[in-house]
Amino acid sequence: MSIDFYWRIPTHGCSSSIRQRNSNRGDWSPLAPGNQAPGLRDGAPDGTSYIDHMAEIARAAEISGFVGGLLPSFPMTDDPWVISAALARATKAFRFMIAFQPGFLSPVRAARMSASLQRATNGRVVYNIITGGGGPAQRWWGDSFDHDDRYDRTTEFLDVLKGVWKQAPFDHKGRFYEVAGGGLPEALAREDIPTIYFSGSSEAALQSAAQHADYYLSWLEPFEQLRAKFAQVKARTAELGRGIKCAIRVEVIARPTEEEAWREVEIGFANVAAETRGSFGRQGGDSVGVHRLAGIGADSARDYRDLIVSPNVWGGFSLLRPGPALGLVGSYENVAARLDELIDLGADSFILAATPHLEEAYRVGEEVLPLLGSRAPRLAAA
Amino acid sequence: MTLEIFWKLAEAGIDRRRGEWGADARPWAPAADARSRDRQINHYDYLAQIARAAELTGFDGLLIPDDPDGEEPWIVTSALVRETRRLKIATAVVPGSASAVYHAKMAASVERFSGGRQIWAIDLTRDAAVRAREGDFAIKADLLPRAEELVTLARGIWGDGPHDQEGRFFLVEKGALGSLAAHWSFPELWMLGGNADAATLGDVHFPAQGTAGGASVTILARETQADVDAELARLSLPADAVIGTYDDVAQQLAVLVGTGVTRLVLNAGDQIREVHIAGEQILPRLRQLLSGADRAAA
Repeated sequence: MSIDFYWRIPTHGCSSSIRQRNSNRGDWSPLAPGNQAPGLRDGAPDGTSYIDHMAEIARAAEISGFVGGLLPSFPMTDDPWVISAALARATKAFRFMIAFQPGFLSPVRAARMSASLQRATNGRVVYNIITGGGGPAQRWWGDSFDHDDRYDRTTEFLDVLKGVWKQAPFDHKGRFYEVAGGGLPEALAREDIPTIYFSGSSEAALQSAAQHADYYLSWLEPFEQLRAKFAQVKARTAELGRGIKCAIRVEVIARPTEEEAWREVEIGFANVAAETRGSFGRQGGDSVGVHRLAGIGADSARDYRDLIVSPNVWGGFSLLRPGPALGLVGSYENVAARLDELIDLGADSFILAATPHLEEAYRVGEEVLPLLGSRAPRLAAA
Repeated sequence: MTLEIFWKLAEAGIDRRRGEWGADARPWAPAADARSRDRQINHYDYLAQIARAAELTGFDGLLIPDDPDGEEPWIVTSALVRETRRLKIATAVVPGSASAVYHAKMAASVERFSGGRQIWAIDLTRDAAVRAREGDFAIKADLLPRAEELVTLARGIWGDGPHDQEGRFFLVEKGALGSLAAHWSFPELWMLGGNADAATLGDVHFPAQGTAGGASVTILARETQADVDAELARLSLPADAVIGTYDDVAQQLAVLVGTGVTRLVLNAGDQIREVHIAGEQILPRLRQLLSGADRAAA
């Protein structure tokens, strides 16, 4: 079995260092020492933009052996569909893992956009279907359904998306969607439906995943908790008729020595004012996954060591940049060993990330991945 | 409004097959294995070539229509953003296809990546059967109110908001694109199809029949009348196509522009050839005629 390693494209700017929490790469803040501001060199548009930096990150990832990258989608980020199509011709093998929620698009439109994008990229589209969230954030997106309703809708959305793509003329009259004689133009219909990464930890999510997903995607959690979760996901989805694989998003700080890696954390932690730690640790919404991580306690830590969860696993990443709390910190050998453990406990695929994403794609691809055990892929083939 | 001239990326026949990938079009292409396709030529290479040709031959922009039998326009738009430098890109926007927030969000990224070259062309041309195939069962009387809601919401969140709107078709709570839309103004708004009420919603109206501020015409222009006749024998063109020698076609278009057209959209099949004819032969003649008319009026 081979393991797929994806990278991540930061879709709301990047930072030149994990030591400073900012988005100083990109046109999000004005040009200043330590910063680059493509598009706004003299405060006015200059013909380049943040897409040009994202192109460099994607190319660094494919040069370094990653199969592709996740394009996260949040209110303040650039849009993954637009980014992917804009970078289709700037990359060769890089797969675009597009994060999106069924509430954003009609399923017929999503099918057509996806098939067009498959054509533009020569078949390099992957989905990261997100259903969770909820509350005011969901209404920001223009979506008002409740939690369990949203998983029912995700299931029906994917029913319709796959139906119009591969079973035209497709008729459907469901709870959320209706289509009469739906289909795609012939050249688009020939394309493959993208591999589906699926997020969500609740029973409603697993029921939906069992019908449609290829990979169940989790944030990094304490290892034994993940082992239990993956075992449950694999068992439950198999019971429901279709077993799925498991994937993990893992942020890493990998350095030649473990001491150097922890020094990054120590400095980064010290650079976050104590009174702001609470707000960075938290995220809104009714997602079960978010609640599961809430016990880590980034807000009450006085020392970065208070947040060490297990060897090389640190629970304060959300202080250093937006996103999951847990990540790996250590020497190249440490990080590779932890990734091997994660493979042993059930991971079939990874989405790795490190800041700054451009330079670190090379470091992780060159220094960490080659150290993984024999079950990892031969990167030259990627 | 100063006159701007666009090429319409409308595809049929030979255009659809170019750079196409698949058993029918290219029998020597490898089987449908995603990895074997890496580095291959595909249809988007051709689309990019038309766009660049339009840019090099002096067009101001490109209209990317939403043909139900064709590529998806947001994907085409985004794929062409980095292939072009100054061309404006008018993207067909179908109100029933996505949430209003999501339309605006995609638009914000296109604006950012293109340096503010985007235009929205709201598509009100789809009939009920096409809409049903796309999962859209809005009744005809609701099409314009829905488009209005879309535009109001998208404009409302374009900036720091926060914008609240709970309409019949779209909603948003505390919506704001913030830094995504900073530095860029909301795209110019075209209305494709619809009646006179649609005209009041956008900056430019392309009526279903005839022309207004916007005019979209198929052209057939050749050096001599004999060349034109030879082409006509092979082609079937729309009744309102503008046909003739280079001078004839430029003259007819100048008359059209004189009726108040500010956004002129041209199209013709076999695009890579025709965009060069239009750009090299028609546009310079047309601009000459129009500047002459300006001088005469002055």
